[in-house]
Amino acid sequence: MTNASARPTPFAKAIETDYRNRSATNAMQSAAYDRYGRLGLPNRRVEGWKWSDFSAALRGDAPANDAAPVETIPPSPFATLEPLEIQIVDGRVLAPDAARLEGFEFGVIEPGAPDQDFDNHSLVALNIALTRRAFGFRVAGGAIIDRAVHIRHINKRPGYVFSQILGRAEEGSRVTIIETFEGCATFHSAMHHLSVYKGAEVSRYVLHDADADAVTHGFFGGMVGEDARFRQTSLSTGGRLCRHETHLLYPAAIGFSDVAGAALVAGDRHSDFTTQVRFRAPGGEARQLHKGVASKKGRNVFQGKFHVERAAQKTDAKMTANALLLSDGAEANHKPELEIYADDVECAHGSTVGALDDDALFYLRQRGLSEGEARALLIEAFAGEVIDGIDDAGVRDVFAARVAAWLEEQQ
Amino acid sequence: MSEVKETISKETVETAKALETYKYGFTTDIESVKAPKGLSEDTVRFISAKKEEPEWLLEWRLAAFRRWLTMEEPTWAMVDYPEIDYQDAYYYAEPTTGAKYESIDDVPPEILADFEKLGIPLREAEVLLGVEGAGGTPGDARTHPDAPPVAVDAVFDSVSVATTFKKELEKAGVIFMSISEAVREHPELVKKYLGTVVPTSDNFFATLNSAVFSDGTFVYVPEGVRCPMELSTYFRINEANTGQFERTLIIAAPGSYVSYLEGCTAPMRDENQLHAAVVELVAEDDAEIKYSTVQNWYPGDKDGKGGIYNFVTKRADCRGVNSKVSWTQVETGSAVTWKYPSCVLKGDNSQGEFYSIAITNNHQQADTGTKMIHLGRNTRSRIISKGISAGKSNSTYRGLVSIHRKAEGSRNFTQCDSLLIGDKCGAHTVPYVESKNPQAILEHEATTSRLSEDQLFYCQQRGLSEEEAVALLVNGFCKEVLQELPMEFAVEAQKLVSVSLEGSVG
Repeated sequence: MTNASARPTPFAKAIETDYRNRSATNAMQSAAYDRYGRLGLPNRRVEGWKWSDFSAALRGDAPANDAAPVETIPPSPFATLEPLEIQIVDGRVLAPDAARLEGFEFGVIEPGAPDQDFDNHSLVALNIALTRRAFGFRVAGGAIIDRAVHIRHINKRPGYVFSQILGRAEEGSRVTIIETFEGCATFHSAMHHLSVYKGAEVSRYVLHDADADAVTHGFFGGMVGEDARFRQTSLSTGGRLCRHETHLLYPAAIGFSDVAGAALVAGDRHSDFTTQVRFRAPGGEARQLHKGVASKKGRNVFQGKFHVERAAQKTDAKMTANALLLSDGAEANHKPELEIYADDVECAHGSTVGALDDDALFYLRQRGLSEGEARALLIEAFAGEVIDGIDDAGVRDVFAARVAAWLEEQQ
Repeated sequence: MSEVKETISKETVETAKALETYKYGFTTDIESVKAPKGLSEDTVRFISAKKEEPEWLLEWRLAAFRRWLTMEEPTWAMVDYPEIDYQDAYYYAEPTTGAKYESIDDVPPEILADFEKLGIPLREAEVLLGVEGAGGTPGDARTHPDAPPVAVDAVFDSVSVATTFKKELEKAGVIFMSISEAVREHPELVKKYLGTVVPTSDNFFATLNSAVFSDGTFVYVPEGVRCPMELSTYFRINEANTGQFERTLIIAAPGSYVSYLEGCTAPMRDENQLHAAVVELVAEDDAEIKYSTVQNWYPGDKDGKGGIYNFVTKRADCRGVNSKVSWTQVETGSAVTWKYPSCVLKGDNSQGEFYSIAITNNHQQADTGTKMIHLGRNTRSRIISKGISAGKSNSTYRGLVSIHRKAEGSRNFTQCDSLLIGDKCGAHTVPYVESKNPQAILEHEATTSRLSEDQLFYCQQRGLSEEEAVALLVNGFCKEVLQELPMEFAVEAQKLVSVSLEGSVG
C-alpha cells in the first residue's frame, strides 16, 4: 500500500497542490499528511477495502475547482420536524448565528482530529490534513435537547470536499442528531467524532441520499462512555462509491450501542457500511443490524467487527446482516468479523444472502396483489426492520417515505 | 460408576504422561543426504536431478522459482512469527539407505522403530512395507482381521520409504504411489494434472512448494472405481532444519470414490521448521473425494519456543458434474498454522464440504478456514468450523464463500463456533461472503463463548476432575466434526482433543 505509483493521478496532484497552497499547517496536519503519503489511497488489495476501492474510483480526471458558486439550497426532507439546521455546503460550514438552543453550543471551529487512534486509516489522515474549517458542538452536562439538530452535507459542484464535525455530549445529556448527505462531489470525505460521556444518550440518524455519481467516505468515530447509550440508524441509496464507517469505542464499563443500517442500491450504485466496535472495559453491550437491498447492478457491502479486548469481560454483542438480491448483476458482500480476547463473553453474528421468498410472493399474489406490489411490500418489510427501530416518530416517517419512494423509482 | 471413573483416570494419566514430553518428539538417528543449505536455482536443479526428473518438470520448477523471487510473503493472516530466512534452511533431505527395499531386512531398524512409536501398522507384515516378493492380501497381514483395511504410504522426511497394499490397489486399477514414482511411471497423468488446481503462481508458499517440492502422494482412481480401502499417509519431519514441501495430487476419474487420510507427527526440535505443502484434488463427473487430516505436529513448548510453521495450500477442483469433495481436519499441532482447504465448485450440482476443528494451546497461532467458490449451477457447500483456544494462543477462522454470476440455485451454509478457555487467549472469526447471483442462498452464523459453568459444575459433581470435564465438554462441542472423520481417525482425534487441552485449566 504505497503511494509510489509512477505517475501521480490527477487526484494525487490536486491533493498535493491543495496541501502546499495552505497558508499555515500545524504539526498534527503535517503528520497526518505524511501518514497519508505513506499509506496511499485504500485499494482493493488492502484488507478492509477489498470491495470498496477508492484508489480506482478516484483515478479519473481532476475536476475544475472553481466551478459554479452555490445554488439555492433544496428543501430539507426533515423540515416538518423544525430542527436546528446546519448546512455544510461544499465543505463550508454555514451555521445559523441567530439560532440558539439552551444547553447546545455550536459554531465554526478550527479543524482537529478524532479522540481515538485511527493512525492506519489513510482517508482519516487525509481528512485531518486537508479540512479547513470544522463544525463543533457541545451538549452541556444534563441538558436534554428536545429539538433535533440537522446537519446537512450539501455538495453542489464537482471537486474534492473535506469536512469535519467534532462534538461532545456531556454527562447525562440527551440529543438527537440528523445527518444528511445530498448532491454530489467528486470526492467527499466527511469526518465526525463524537464523545458520549457518562450517562449521556445520543441518537444519530444518517440519510445518505446523494446523486448517482457521488463518491463519499463518511467516517464516524464515537466514544461510548460509562452507562452511555448511543443509537444510530442509517439509510443509504449509495452512489458511485459510498462508504459510511462507524467506529465505536467503549473505554468504560457498561456502555450500550445499537447501530442499524439499511442500504437500497439500484443502477450502478455502491453502498458500503463498515462498522467496528471496540470493547475495552467490562459489561459492554452492542447490537447491529444491516439490511441491504440491491437491484440492477447495485452493490452492497457490509463489514462489521466486534473487537473485544482482554479486559472487556461480560461483553454481549450481536450482529445480523441480511442481503436481498433482486436481479442478475446485483451483488452483496458481507464480512461480519469477531476478534475476541476475553473469555466470558457472548458474541454472535449471523449473515444471510438470498432472493425474495417465492412462497411469500405467491401468497401475496394469491390475495390479489400484482407482482410489482407484492415485491415492493416484501422489500419494504425487509428494510422495515431497520426503519421500525427508530424511536423518533417524525424521523421514522421521513425514512419510511424515502424507502417507499425508492421502491416507486424501481417500478 | 467406579468402573467408569477408573477407566477415565487411567486414560487421563496416560495422556498426561504423553504430554509431559511431546509424545512424538523423538528423533530418529539416520544419516541423510541433504541439498546444500539455501535456496537458489541450483537447489532446484539439485532436487530435480536427485529425483531423476524429466526436463519439463525441471523447467516447471524453475519457472515457479523465478516467479517466487518476485513474490512477497503474505501478511494478512492473524499470525505473528519472526521473519523466516529462506536461505537458512535445507530444502531436501533423504534417508541415505534409499527408498526402495528388496526385503524387510533392508529397512533401517530406526525407521521401523519410529513407525512403531507412531502407531503406524507397518510392522504387521512385509506386505505393509511394499517389500518386493511380499504377497498375500492385506487381510492375511492384519493382526486384527476385522479391522477395515488401510493402505499406508509413509513419508519419512522427503522420500516415501514404504508403500503398502499396492497389489490390492493395482487389482482395482487404483494408482497410489509417491509423486516422484508417479513422475517416472505415469508422466502423462502427472503432466496433465500437476498445477492445474493450484497453479505455480498461486501464492507465495504454493509457489515455493512448486519450486522445491520433495515428495508426496499421487492417487489416481480410474473411472467407476470405488477405492477398496481408505488410503492413508503419515508425514513426519525428521531432519532438523529441513523444510518439508509435500506435493499431493489426487485424481478421481468419473464415477469414482476415494477416501484419503493424512496424519502428521513431527519430532521435537528447537528451531522452527517450515512446512509448505500443496494438495491438489481433482474430482471429475460424479466422482467423490473425502480428504481427512489429523495434524499434531510439534506445537512448540509451553513458552512458545520451537514448533512447526505450517503454511499449506489445499484446494479441490470439483470440475465434474455432480462431483463432491469433503475436507475434514483436526488441527491441534504446529506453532503457526496458515491453511485454507478450498473447493472450486465448477461442475453443475457439485458439492463442497469443510469440517474443521482447530485447537490452539500455549502460544500456538492458527489462521485457518476454507474457500468455497461457486461457479456452476446448483452447487452446494457446507462449512462447519469449531475453534478452541486455550492458554495464550490465538485461533482465527477465515473463510470465503463466493457465488459467481452463473451459479444459479447455489446454496451455502456456514457455521463457525469458537470456544475460549481462559482469559489470555483469543478467538477470531473473519468470514467473507460474496454473492453475485440472486438465485443463490447463503447462510452464515457464528458464536463465541466459553464453556458453560453449569455444565462444568454438573460434570464435576459427578466425579470428573475439572480437566476431564473440560475434555468431555470440548468433545461435545466438536462432535459435529468428529463424526465426519473415518473410524480410524475418529478415536485418535477424540483423544487428541483431550490431550491438546491438558494444562489449560486450573
